[in-house]
Amino acid sequence: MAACEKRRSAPAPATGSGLVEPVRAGVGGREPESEAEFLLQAGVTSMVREALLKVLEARPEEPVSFLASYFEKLVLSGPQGGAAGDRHRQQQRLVRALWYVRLAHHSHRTAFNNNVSMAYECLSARGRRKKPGVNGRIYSELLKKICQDGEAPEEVVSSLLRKIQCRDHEAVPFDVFRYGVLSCFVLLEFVAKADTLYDVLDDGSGVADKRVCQAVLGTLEDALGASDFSVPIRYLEAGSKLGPDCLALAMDKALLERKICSSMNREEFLKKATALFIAKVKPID
Amino acid sequence: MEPAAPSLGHGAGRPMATGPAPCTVRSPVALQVGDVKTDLARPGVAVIDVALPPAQPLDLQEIVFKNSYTAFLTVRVQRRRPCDVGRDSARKWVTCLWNHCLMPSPHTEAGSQDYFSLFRHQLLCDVDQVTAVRLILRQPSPVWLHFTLEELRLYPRGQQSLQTDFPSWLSHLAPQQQPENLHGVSRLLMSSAGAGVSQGAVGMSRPELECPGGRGQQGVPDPEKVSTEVQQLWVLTEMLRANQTAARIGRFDVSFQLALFIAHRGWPPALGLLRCPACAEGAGCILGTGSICSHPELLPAGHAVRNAIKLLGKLLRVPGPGVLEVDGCYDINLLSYT
Repeated sequence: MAACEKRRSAPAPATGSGLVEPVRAGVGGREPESEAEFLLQAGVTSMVREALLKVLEARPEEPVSFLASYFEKLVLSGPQGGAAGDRHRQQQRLVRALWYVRLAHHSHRTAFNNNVSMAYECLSARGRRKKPGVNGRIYSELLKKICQDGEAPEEVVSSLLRKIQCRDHEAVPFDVFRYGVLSCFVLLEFVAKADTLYDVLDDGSGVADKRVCQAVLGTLEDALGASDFSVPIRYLEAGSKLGPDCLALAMDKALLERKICSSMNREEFLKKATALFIAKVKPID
Repeated sequence: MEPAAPSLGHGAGRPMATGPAPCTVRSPVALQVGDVKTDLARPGVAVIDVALPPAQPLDLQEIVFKNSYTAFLTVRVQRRRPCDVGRDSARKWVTCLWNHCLMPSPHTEAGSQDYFSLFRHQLLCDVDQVTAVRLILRQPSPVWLHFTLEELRLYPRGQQSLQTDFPSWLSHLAPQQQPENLHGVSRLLMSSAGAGVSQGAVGMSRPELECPGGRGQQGVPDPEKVSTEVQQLWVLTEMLRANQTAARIGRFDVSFQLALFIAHRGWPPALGLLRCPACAEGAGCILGTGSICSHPELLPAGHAVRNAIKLLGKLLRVPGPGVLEVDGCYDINLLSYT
């Protein structure tokens, strides 16, 4: 209700021209300007438009908190950081870049790419002496930070990073940067999904049967390894292999094996599943 | 129905000829109780016998036919054991396809006039040394007056009707029947567990029930859910694969060949120490003194080696000693500056 009232009250002064004059004189003060001009001059128009665009790109579940954090970041990354040391400034840039890449989910392809390129620009700004560009050190640091806040096990993260990290002094081209950032995000999601899969496999009992886990992972590996990359029929093949029928068969077969019934804990399962994923990540060279 | 074996001499004369195996298809015989003429009840089962020339047992590859209102098909073959040829008792009838569904719902038209192809790998057992084939057709629906199979052809091994390599994952008949039972079993198990009824005969043969730990009751986890999750994992991996870049960081990997090149040319030790990027801080392998870089995994990628050689050629003209660091960044810079 309050919002409604606010909205209604806003146009009212604009139509009643008698009221507008004194109000503006009180706020704006020195020179007579219309609202639009003021907004334009203060940079509010572009700022709000930018914010709206970001919201539209990212389509967050909670737009209010998204916007709040957005404006907060704007304040933080403002000019006040100028006096700080080089190291501090770099840290700030890193935080900002991290924020950029997290704005949109990687499935929003365009938005994600935009944000990654913003992050890249942000990181590649250097001091006066140095040439612009992202070096391997800051790139690797960003990747580490991205991976830190997921629930991915340490071991898994480090094995991915080993593949996509760059050496400290190397210049990182944008494509490599993008691929690295994307791999990190996809890994985090992969780990989360594998976790859910484990929940399904253990049927609420907390521990899943080792044979079943191995059968499922084996089927996945089989589907991932299927034929070569360019053939579209591969998708059908994988779909058939990962269908409920084939999986049920594989699991049943595994259970019928007369082996000692042992369980596989969650960590082990995650490790094995992510190993399949990481094997498909293209190492940087 | 006319016998679909017109190529008797044709196929037999040339072994590599493409075409169905010579055989005689008898017309379908309905299994009728009572008098065929007067009884009004229509039979639901018919049998088609296919006779093969007795001297040439057939290694069956494929059975092709056009359906004509048959709902379920069972195929039996008579096999001859190679070990005891000549004895009649050695011929055994085996079922190689059991109640395979040709019409998903027998009362409706779906599948009623489709062409079907049954491959060797779809059958339940080996179909080598076949001497006779019997097709048992069933049509439970009274809607259709006649049902049969038309254009029946048997293809011997090494010959196929159409495509040469038909992916086996696309056609799995026999396995498809098993999961259904399996679903049934797991559903039964679940329902019995839910109702508090002790799972008796249903799960007796399932070894996981004997497992300690008490998680045997559910048996296989819900395949639907597992499939959904696994497919998502697959999609994520595929997505990353699709996003691969061709971009390279441009590492100047000092290769085995380059090391040999240097060694051959007699790189003056005073001129420079070439640091291999694989040895972390350049502390390790020093090239140029005749020693060979011990990183064979850094194989040359065409242009990198060429560039390196070009670079070396330029560097060799540089007077005086110096330490040259060769790696990603510097490599690119040096090349662009010179």
